[in-house]
Amino acid sequence: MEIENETEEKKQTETVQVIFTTKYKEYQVIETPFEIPVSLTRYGLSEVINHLLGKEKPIPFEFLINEEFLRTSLKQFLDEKNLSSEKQVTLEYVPALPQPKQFNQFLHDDWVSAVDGKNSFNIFATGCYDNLVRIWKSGLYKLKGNEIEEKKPIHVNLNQNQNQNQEQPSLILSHHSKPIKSVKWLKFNENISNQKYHLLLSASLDEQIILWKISSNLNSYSILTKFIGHSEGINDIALNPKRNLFCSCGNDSLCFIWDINDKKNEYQNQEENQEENQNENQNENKIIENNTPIASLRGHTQAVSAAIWPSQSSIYTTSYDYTIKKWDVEKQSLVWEAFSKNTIHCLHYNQYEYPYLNFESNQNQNQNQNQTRKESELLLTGHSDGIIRLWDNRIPSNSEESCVIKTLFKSHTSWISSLKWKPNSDFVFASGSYDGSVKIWDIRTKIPLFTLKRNSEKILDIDWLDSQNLLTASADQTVKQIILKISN
Amino acid sequence: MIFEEIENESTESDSDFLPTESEELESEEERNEEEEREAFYEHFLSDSESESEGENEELRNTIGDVPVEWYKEYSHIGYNLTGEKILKRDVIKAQKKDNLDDFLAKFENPDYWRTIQNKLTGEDHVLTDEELATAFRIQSGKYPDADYDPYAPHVDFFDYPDGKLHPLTNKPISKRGFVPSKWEAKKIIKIVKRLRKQKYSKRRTRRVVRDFLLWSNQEKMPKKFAEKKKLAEKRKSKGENIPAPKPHLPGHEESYNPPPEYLPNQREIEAWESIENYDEKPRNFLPQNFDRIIDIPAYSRFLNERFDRCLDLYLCTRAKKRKQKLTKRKIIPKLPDLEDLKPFPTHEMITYKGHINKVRSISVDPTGNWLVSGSDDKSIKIWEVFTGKCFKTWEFSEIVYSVAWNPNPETPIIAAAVGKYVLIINPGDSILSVKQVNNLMKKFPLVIEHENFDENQLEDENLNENLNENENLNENDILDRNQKIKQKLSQLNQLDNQNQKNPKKSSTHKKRHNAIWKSPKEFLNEIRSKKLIFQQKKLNPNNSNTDQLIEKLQIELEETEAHDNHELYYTKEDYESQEFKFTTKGIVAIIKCTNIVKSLTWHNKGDYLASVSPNGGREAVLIHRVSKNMTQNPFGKSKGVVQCVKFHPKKPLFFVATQRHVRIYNLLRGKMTLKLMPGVQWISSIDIHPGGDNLIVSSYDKKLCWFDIDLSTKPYKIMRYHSLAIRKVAFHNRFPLFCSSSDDKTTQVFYGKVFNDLLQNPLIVPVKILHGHEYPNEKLELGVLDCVFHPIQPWLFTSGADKTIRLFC
Repeated sequence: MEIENETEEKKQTETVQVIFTTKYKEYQVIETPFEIPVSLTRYGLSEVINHLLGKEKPIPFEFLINEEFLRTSLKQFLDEKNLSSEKQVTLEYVPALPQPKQFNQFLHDDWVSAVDGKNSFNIFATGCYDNLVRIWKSGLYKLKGNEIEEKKPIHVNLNQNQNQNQEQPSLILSHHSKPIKSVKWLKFNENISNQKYHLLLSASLDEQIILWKISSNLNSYSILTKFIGHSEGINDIALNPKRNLFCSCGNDSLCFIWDINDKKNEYQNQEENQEENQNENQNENKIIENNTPIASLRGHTQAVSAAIWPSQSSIYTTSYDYTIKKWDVEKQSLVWEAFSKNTIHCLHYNQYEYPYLNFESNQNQNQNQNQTRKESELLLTGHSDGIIRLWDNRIPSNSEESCVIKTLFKSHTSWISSLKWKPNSDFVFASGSYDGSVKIWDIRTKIPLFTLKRNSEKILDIDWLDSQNLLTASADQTVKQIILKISN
Repeated sequence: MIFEEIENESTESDSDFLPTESEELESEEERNEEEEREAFYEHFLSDSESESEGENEELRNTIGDVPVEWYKEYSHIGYNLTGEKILKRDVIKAQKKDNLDDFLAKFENPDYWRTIQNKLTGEDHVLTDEELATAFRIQSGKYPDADYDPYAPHVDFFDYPDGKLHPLTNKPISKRGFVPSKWEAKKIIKIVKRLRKQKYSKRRTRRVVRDFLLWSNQEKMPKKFAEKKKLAEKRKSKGENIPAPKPHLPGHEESYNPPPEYLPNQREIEAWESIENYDEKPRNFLPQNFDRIIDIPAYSRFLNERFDRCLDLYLCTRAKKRKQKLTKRKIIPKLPDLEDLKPFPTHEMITYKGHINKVRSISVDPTGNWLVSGSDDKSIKIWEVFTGKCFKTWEFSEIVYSVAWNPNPETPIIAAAVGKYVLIINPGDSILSVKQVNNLMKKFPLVIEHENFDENQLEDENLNENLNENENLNENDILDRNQKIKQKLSQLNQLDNQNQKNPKKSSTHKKRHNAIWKSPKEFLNEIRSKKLIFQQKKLNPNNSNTDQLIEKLQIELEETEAHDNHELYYTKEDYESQEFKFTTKGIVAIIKCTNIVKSLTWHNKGDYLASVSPNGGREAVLIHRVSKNMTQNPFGKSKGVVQCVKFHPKKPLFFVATQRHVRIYNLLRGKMTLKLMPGVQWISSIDIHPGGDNLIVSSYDKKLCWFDIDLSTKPYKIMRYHSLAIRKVAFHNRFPLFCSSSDDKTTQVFYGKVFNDLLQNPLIVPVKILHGHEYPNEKLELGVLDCVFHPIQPWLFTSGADKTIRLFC
């Protein structure tokens, strides 16, 4: 009798017919409709998929209905969207983004204001408020498959490392006289006079941008060029896709476009000459001061906070005067502008394949793939009211803000200081804020996927090392490495 | 009743349904008569047709009863029976007459005048004499028939054979009146059946209008009345219905038996009667006394009175008195939507932490990138606005009461009030851009002095080190040291003398104050000398040689220090100890005043600096000119305890706020132009609208007053929104915003728009209360001490007793 009752109860529970689909070939299951109780949440659904796949280790999945993440139970979701539970529901599932974990931290002497790194070279640079640029090549953890493998330090003494139990920078570049605001790797393993050098740009409040030449074994460095033109501190620099030009934006509400190559050639010539003269003094005499930007973008009325150079011809800049402007580089003219209601502190563009595609041989295939990918052109801006706004720039409009803003992401409680799309992802991005938290978002849901909050110190900059490594620079004088790792 | 009606209704129909025998007989007779009549008519009709055919076979036009004009354009006029056209010329012979023919006919034809045209046939017709006579009679309004006699004696159409006794017809009364009707019986049966079945609806019964109360709402009244009443009420509520003027109600005198005091005496009666015109009489009747109602005579003027009343009703102008329905909400002016007033600060975004005691004063650099703060922890800090990073710190031995960044972006220097000293500080290369530093060098030669000074400082330090080394040596060198000290002191005295002379020289007018400008070099030397003395004393407590000197100096020092022991870098104990701790780097000039300086204000052009020391008496307000190292005392005598001062942003006006009043001085004429009376107990701070015509005053008794200077010396608006004393008020330079910060831990932001139109009053709307600061401990109820707006953005900085500065945006 009891058994019968139970079965009856089971019959009474609502079910819905679902079809599971996925774009991941390794996780595909049979495309037959399943009857599934409506009360299931994503955890239950994930169990179902894992059962179907017959995996030993269960993999967490996220589920999408109509391009929207399932965050509640199926029933609630269907009720909210006024969908009938009698119709067939197509559930797309993707492996869930793994829980991020902090792995290592790199201590500095002062607030760290900028970070830029590349994992394939296992290297990153930081700009600090003590006017120094640091290059780090040790202590980064690296993922190999699902295992975390520690990269042994290369140039740092092991004993020292053990004693101090903290990472040391491989190289410290000092020339700036005021805090560094932005660092950007320009090129890796560039051949200059038969030696391999890394090239790094750093911008500072001392109105200078310096192009550093760093030997590839991180033994020595020298200054290639100084770019001087701004009359106030520089906030951000943006490199063009070809990496021969860059744009700098300053507190003096101007943006300058600088050419790297011309001066470099001159420098090479000079160097050759000097080599001929056999003057091996690598002193400051060699430093070239570039005082003439090839173009200037005038239009902002207040300090320009950030810039991005996604395609060869267009630059996006944001400013404290509440506007986003798109510039045509060749014409040096304004293409369109959009107005916000708050000051804008940072922006990022998801078409912008951020690091180093042009000169990495092993990623050339990816590069081609990425170039063909032009599904979305979405712009993210971080504002002083703690809201991230997603703009769709395919609808340029000067008239109303609302027709361009696609989504608002509200969760931070203070200024957004940095935004970065996850490399090779159409949907995922990370944001850092002055409230001390780093959040990872998916544009298909308005709730952040993960929130990382270690302390209340401000996050000043973040950067994706690769698609699974995130570096955060914060006011607690550290850079932290966060790994999105599949938990075992 | 019902029965009768039904009977009446049925009488006629009865005969149709139930013909009696006699009726059958009658109807047969009628039928015969009708047949005869029909036969007669048929005969008559056939006759007339045949006659007409015979007579007008050819001439007849077949167009029917229409005017011939309609056929003007055609040659034919209708068709004959065979379908051929009847031509006009056949029918009308003289049809084609033109005007000439007509004219000729007029003379030739003697009958022309009596010829008319038949419009139907188009033929000419000559009127006969008879016809003419008829026409004339009609024209003269007579009967057309000449024979007709309208006054002929009346003859009835029937005769009364027996006079007038008998009825018209002699028909015997019908029998059916006496026989009960069969149809009726049927109908009754039907009704009875329905009644038995209780189906007989009340609808059939005639509705009886019952009595009802016309003016009550609850009483059920017929629909018709209810609707009328509703309509009337509706009109009344709309104000369309104007009530008629009410007639005068009768009083005692109009009674038939009025009390004797109402009865007129003889004289009054005569006076009343002497007035002829009724309208002019004081009243239109004489009160009279009757014993019984029945004795009252008819009122002779009744009709007149009714007539007057009617006149009143329609001639009297009736004005609509509209009663305004006022509710509290309606009286309160409608506030604009908050969304329209944006932007204004709403949320706390950045906290600047670093001070270890309450932050007294803050100020923002004109570019908006830097923030300077002065605190009770005896330090000044410079912060980066956008990140909250502390860039620089100066430490002193005195509380920093006020800091002020020069509002001129070309001369970015800071003035700070530290104890009795006013310091002019160069924020330094690490904060200023290259351009700003260059500008500063040009504007203020002081800075250059400061540049030179750095080297001197080094020399001094060397000297000091030497001295320290000497200390380590034997006592043999003490004499040398004394000599050195003597030399140094003499140098210092010279310097001091020079110093005191210099301002005298530079200012030609007589000196009215005791403020002394010192370069940091001089100042530092002073400090060192004092320090040396104390060190000397400590090292050689028993050395008689030095004792005298030391005593002398100590007396001097004490004299100069007078009553209060305010020193910039060291307390007395510090002098005695060995520690050196001073950060003079960046300090350009030091102005020593006689009293503690509590407030500083820059002029907009950035050259003049006003300092306020409330207890300074006649030296309470001093105006310093930075470019010329000069100090002026604008006021000869004190007008009270000065709280704060402000420069007018455009005109040469100077605002001085004492405890109760705000005085406005014209700096060019040196006269007071206006005295504002806010009516508060103790003013805490004032600020001037960037337009210059409006002023806000805050007081320790929780009031915030807005003045329109052109309008009145009394406040335009007083706002009491804080629960504790207001410490500071501030206007925004660009946005129409102002704020007040208070001890109740809150800062309130107001939207205050001043219109260019002089007629329009400023619009003041409270928009936001900002919370965030806390009390440092439970006993100390000190909340927000200072508030400053960002010069460009709609952001607000507040500093509090909880050691923090907060940015709201």
